[in-house]
Amino acid sequence: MQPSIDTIRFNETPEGIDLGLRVAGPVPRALALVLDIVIRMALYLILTPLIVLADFGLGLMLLAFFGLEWLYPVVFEVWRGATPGKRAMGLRVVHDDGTPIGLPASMIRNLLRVVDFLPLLYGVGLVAVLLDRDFRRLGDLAAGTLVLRVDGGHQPRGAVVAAPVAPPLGLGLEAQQAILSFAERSQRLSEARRIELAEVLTQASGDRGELAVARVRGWASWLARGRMQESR
Amino acid sequence: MMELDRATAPLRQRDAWEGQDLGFALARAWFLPLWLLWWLSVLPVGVACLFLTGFRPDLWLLALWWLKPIYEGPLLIWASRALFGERLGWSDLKTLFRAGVPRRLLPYLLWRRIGMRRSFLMPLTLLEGLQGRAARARRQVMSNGSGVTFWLTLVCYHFEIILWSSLLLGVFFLVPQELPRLDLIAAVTDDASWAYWVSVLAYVFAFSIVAPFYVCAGFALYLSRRTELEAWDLELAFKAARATLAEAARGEAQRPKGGRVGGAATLVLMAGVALLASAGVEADPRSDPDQAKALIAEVLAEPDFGSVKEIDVWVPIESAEDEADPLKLPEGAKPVLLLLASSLKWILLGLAVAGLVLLLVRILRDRRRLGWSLGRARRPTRAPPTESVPMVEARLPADIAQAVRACLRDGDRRGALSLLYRASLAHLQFMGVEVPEGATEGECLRLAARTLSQAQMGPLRQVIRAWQGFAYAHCVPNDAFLESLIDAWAQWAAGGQEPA
Repeated sequence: MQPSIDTIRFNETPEGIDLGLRVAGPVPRALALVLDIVIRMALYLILTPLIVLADFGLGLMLLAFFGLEWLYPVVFEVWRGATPGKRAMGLRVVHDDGTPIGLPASMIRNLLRVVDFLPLLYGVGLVAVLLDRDFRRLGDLAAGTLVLRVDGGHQPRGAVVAAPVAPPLGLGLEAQQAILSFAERSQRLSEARRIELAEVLTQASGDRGELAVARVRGWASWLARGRMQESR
Repeated sequence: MMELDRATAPLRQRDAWEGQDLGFALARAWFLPLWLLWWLSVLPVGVACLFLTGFRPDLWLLALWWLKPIYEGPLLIWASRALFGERLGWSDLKTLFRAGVPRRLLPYLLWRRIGMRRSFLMPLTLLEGLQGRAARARRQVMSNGSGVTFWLTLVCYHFEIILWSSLLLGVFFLVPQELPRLDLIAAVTDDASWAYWVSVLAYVFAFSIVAPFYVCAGFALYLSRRTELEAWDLELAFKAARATLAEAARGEAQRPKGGRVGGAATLVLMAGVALLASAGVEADPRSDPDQAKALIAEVLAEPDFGSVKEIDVWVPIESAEDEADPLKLPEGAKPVLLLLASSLKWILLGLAVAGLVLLLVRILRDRRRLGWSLGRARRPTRAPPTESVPMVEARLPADIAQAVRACLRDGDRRGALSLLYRASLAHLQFMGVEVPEGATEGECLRLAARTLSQAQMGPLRQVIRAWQGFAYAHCVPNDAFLESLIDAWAQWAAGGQEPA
């Protein structure tokens, strides 16, 4: 059996909970970087009128440029967890154990941007991201941080409208989740596929066709009700 | 239907972005075979294009770039097989190329080449083999309107540019200044220069690096879209659930015997309870607790209560023996061993004390001798240099040449040369050249040359050189040379004395 390849990194908390961290690959990260550069450029443009204040204005402008260039990512990462560009791409920076990023890690990560930028346009960073299993650039490796994907994981759960039917005993947690997920997604599946999937489960009871689908949806309704009571 | 349970990457619901991230992870895991395969397919095409374009680097690069789908086809086939655990090797190259470059790939080399969704649409053409109207309908279903495929292609083009420019600049920075340098301007503009060829080759190298990632990202996008459309993850989960249910049902079918026994036990228990209840009216209900305990133990022993777990635990093998060892010692051995150990301890202590005493004695003795020799060595340094000269002279034998020859006869060349050198210094002093204490051989020679003429210096230069060569470089002068040196020296000494 070959090792399974995925972008999820499991990190067990002291409470024994496996947190799945979905690391983000080079393409969304590159786009987030471009977005951040565009935002910074716009800020520079806004700051340029300072130059009418002659030398004083020029000094102020250069100070502001320096601050923007070096502190923009740090401030946003520590404050909001991600720069605006990353936020737009649905990314977030965290420590590699999944905790929110702190000031030291963010500083290291962003100071080492200079190394990742070498020799031109993040050449070293790109190679590091392609080589590393968790898509980390050198700054991430030094600071012990990960860039994660945070959105898109949770689809809104539609209510299951069906008469509850008790499912067979002995269904594991994953099977129950799959049944719930089937009820939510069955409308988006083609009819033939929907029936084919439902018949996998109802083989024992002998239900065929739409009857099988209705039965599995009934189980889902039963399971969902149980969950709602539990959460109350 | 594919055997989904053999998939190397877990099939779960992923959005498009996560899908292409999975592609990068896949390409990273399979990079080497994919990269080699890319070069295998690009080499013949590249050589052919070299002749077709008349060795023009810019046209050659354009042709290689345009023909990219040809090298990406086999990569895609390889990746699609590898996903389900089948690694194609060297022997499968033929099938790989036949499946990877079919005739229906042609649109991708013509009008579809400049499309920005190539990596996502190629699996549809190559893996599903649809054509014409069916293919168009399928494309419509599969494309969900997300721009990820477009962004993927755009970003991958830029990755190629970044890798190419980084490579060129890296070469430019790292090649030492003495070697022929890469002319960066010519590398980009002058297509007649060798630098341009370097740049073109660097670009092809960048193609080769990015291609596996691009192909796998498109393939993973296709996978995640199909997983979403066909609920592959649900199929896997349902099949697993069906298997566990069937197992449970089989267990149920095998149980009747145990069930019956259990039922009987329950009946007995109920009867017992009834008996006890009826007995309670007249006497103590705990009249026969032993019987009830046995009954309870029997009931609890049924497989319906509790469960049997098989747990594998690593146990160190040696630990048992280690614990057993001290027990195996014969009774009388322990005091003997203790005695041995304590006597060994005292012996070691005694040895240590003796060593310390010996050391102290040695230090005292050495200190006495050292102090004596230091005192002796210090005296001449304190004495004025004028006094030391006669001492040196005094220790010299009267007839230098004779003494040197005697040394030579004894085979003591070192003594001979040393004597000659010291005598020369003494003679210099005699001739009025002040040689300070601690002057090196070279300094003596320079001092002598400053005040004496060439003729007055006589064989001094040769003597000093011979001495230096012998003392520092272990160059042994031959006897004839030494003999001539002694003769010259004797003449010099005699001549020097004349004016005095």
